[in-house]
Amino acid sequence: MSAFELDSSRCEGHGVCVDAAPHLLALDDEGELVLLAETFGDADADAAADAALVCPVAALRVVGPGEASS
Amino acid sequence: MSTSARSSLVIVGAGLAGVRAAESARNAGHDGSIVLVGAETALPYERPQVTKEALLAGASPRHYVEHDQLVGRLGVQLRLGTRATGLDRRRRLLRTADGKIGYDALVVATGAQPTPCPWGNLDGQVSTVRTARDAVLLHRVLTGRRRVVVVGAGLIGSEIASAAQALGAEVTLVERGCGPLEASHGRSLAEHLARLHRTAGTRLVTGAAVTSLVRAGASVAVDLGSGERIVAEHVVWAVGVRSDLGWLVGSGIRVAEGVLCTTAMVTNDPAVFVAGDAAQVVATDGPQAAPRSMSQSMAAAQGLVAGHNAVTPPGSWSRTTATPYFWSTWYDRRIQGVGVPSARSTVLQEGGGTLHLYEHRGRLTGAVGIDAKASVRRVRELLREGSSSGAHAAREMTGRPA
Ligand SMILES: Cc1cc2nc3c(=O)[nH]c(=O)nc-3n(C[C@H](O)[C@H](O)[C@H](O)COP(=O)(O)OP(=O)(O)OC[C@H]3O[C@@H](n4cnc5c(N)ncnc54)[C@H](O)[C@@H]3O)c2cc1C
Ligand code: SF4
Repeated sequence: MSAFELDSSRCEGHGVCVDAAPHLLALDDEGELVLLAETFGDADADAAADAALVCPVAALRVVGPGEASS
Repeated sequence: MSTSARSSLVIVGAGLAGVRAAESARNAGHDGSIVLVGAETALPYERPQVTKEALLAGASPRHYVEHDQLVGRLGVQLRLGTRATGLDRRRRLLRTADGKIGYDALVVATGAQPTPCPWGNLDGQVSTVRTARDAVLLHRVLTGRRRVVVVGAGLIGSEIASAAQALGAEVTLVERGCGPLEASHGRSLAEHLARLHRTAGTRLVTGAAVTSLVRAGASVAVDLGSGERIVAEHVVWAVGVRSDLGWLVGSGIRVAEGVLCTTAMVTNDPAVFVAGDAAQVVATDGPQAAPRSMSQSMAAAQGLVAGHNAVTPPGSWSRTTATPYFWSTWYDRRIQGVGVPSARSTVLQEGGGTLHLYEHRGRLTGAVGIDAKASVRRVRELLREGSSSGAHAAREMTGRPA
């Protein structure tokens, strides 16, 4: 299992990440990013990795199993 | 995934596109070396803040990734403060100011640079803005100066005008068109954005071309085609950007305004890739290439594709499909553009915000919102679903709080 780590001080609600993984991420009505699942499995790993890399302000990161959050 | 055939990846340009290419190559299983060569000495940082928070605060923007992560977690060898000067494709050598670096695959991510002022910098009284250093210097200048002229009311010029205002300067913004973004997004948006400047107290001179810039004692005299002369203590030249690709001359890599590539971000040399502001995608391999969109989200999306493809065999290459997107902030107003503009637009007023919807042959192609976050999000969804007509989109937006 891997998980998203969102740096909320950087996230500006651009929603670019949502296009890459609409089943894992969404924007709420206030334009805040919502993680639809706390963790995800291997089947979603590629979409999640892409979602993190397309964020234009580098607010989203994928942390692998056992990786301490910093 | 074996990557032994491409064991040494060299990335030129340590901006967002370069960083993303490095991360993406690792995600694709690349276990060889990655060398990141960058002309600036700073770790890759948030370039949009150069004309936003960093300019207001006079401080450097935050880094995208810290040194530990870049070097430790991603295993990137940093060669910062090093400029690429040439490319020898036959021997697969990158020439730099401090020696040669061999590569198996190369990603060009050297971005773009401001178009220089044709009258020079007049001993520092005229400046351009691109880097963290520029932001710190300009902050000092703007804080001390009463009168400032910003030439060019594009996104960057408009942000500088807004920051200069906030820092207490008296700002004149000189623009060739009828307002910001007229050439790309049409008259109605340009007029709307012009009002934002004027309401905020910035003097916007439209339909104006600078005909000369000269020193006048401790000031600079800016002459316009109309005969008007504006005297100011400082001038910021912000008429656009162009990619400095002189170091690729003679390498055989095909270059026009940017480095020409397909949607797989590969150049005419299958070992050389490109991403970000330096890239110019030509649609030889797919239905349609997005127009050259110099933005953070394009740099990220193209870096992702270039880094992946540089370390994988052509059969598993990915392609850029990202929807163009940009944002900008002036006078605390958020401007967001999604998709592509077209000749026909519909303007919707919603709550405190406005949405300009663009359509072509009845199909929704994109939108620009001003303080219309929720509507821009909805347009992004409609573009993703790919089936919406402009009229349908307009009906759906009406009545939604912006
Ligand atoms: C002031 C400013 C504000 C912006 N605001 C926004 C915004 O709000 N939203 C948005 O979407 N976009 C914005 N943009 C555009 C966005 O920042 C760019 O599209 C993005 O930075 C492109 O990333 P890049 O990695 O391709 O290039 P860059 O960020 O330009 O990075 C390229 C790097 O390569 C280096 N380099 C160049 N030549 C060489 C060489 N020969 N050898 C080695 N290194 C070299 C450069 O020094 C630079 O560090 C802004 C741009 C600027 C300048
Ligand atoms: S994580 Fe990035 S792309 Fe996603 S909503 Fe936040 S700022 Fe936008």
